[in-house]
Amino acid sequence: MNEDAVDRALRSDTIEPSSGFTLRVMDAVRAEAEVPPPLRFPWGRLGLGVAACAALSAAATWLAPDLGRAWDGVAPRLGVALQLGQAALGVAVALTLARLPRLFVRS
Amino acid sequence: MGTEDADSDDVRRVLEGDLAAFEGIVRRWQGRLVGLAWRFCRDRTTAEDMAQDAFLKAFRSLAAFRGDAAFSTWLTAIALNTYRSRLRAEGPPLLALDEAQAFGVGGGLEQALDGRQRDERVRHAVLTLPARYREPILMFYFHDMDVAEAARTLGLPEGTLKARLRRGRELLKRRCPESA
Repeated sequence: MNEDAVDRALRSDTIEPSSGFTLRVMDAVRAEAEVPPPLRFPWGRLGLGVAACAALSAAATWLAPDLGRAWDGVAPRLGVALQLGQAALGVAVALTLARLPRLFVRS
Repeated sequence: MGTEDADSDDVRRVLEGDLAAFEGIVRRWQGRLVGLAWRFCRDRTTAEDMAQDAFLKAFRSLAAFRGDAAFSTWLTAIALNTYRSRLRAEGPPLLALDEAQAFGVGGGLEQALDGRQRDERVRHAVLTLPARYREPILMFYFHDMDVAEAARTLGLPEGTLKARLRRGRELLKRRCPESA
């Protein structure tokens, strides 16, 4: 195949759009414009969250020695706190069980 | 008003909210975009569908047009990417059986083919080339054999484009020798 054959075949190779093409495209464009834009990713909030996490981590690192000393004071009382927590949980469960029949009666 | 000025003016108006101004862009460029799509798929309905997709993508990306390149180059690059994606998703166009059979058939058949059929066979042969050679050939002729513009649209150095054109033509000669 010589280059003239390729040139001749490929230079003049085109078609004209059909008569309704512009209208179809504009209809599609209008439909596209009516679709609300997608929600943008909340980069600002993400940045604030990351900054807050970084600040908390820094504060925790800075306060760690003090927290260790404070923990020494808290540790003996933790056993009492656990028992108090169990008692509170027991009261909450009992109250819930006491209210349960009333809920069934209402429904 | 020149085409570039008209395009810039329409882009500005669309970005200001005048949707109707986009019609000017469509009217000015529909022939080029449909023509380019046709070269990639050789089916009118598919070509118009692909060109419509390209216009929609251009509409969505209009705010990103900075005017660094000519509007025509920017729009053609969007169209090219759209057509590439479409062909990747849907596969290469199917050739009509009689013309597909004509490939590789030598002897007296080519004597019966008139110039138009021969041209069509060359066009189909181009579509069978690997994309790295097919696209430079299609864009080179789409831009009226302007190497610089074809290279800009494809984002290739001119030397690379010329090398691929040369290699693409060699492959064409092998695949379609009877068209000589």
